[in-house]
Amino acid sequence: MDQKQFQKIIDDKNPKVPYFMNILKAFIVGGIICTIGQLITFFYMRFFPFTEGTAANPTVATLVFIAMVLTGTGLYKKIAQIGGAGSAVPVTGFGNAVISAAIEHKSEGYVLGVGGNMFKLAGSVILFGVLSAFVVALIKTILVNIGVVSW
Amino acid sequence: MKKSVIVFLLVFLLCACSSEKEKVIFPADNSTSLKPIMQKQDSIHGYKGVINEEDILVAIYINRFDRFNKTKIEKKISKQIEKKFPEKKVLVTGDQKIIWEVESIIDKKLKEEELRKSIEKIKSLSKEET
Repeated sequence: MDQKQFQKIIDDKNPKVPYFMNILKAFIVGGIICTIGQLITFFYMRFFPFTEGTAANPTVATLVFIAMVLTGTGLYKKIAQIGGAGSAVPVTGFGNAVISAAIEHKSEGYVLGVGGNMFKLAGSVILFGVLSAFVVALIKTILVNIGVVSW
Repeated sequence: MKKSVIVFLLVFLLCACSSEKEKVIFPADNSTSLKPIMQKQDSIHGYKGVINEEDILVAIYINRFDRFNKTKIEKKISKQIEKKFPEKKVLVTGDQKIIWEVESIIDKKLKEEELRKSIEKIKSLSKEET
């Protein structure tokens, strides 16, 4: 029995992955999260002096905060079980990654455990976010200085 | 149960696009030369404008799929208005917040001094970057 036959037996025995259902669930859960985000945006625009452009920042902060509270109470785990990528791709996944790492390492102490490991998962998000923002800004600055596009 | 859900969804879908947005310029006696410019725009389905001595402020309802070109449409319309009113400062925007603010001005029917103040407020809002 060579590698290929063995792989075929494994594929036959394994349960089929319900790709379509997973995609549908992720779509619905992600859509619900984004709808809540849109409602929060409208809330900030209605009751505070934010415009469409500027209301995005407090909305992101609020959503991350909500996700952090839900992670702490254990509810986000259940949402993630249904939604999969739909709960991880929106900005709420970031809050989840921060707090779940913090909870995981709580037993190692507050400074070296929680403090040192809090950004274990989310650190790469921040790093590459800042890096790509810098690169894009650099490209845009060069293009504006050449005169191809305007701000 | 299933039927009621379907009926609910149908009502929901049919209601979504039926509201006719008003086309208002305030105060009305100032609007004669601004209205034709707004009427001929095909990428918007409504507008609410405010005019005083030095400013023109138009909030536009951009069609759903034209929103991808929001800044382009705003620029195009404001250029056309600037051509007609070279002595005034023009602000054209599709921002929902500013639409609400202009609506509240029109509802309250503000007089000159207050009108000037609220226009200043809206202009500073639209300049805000942070």
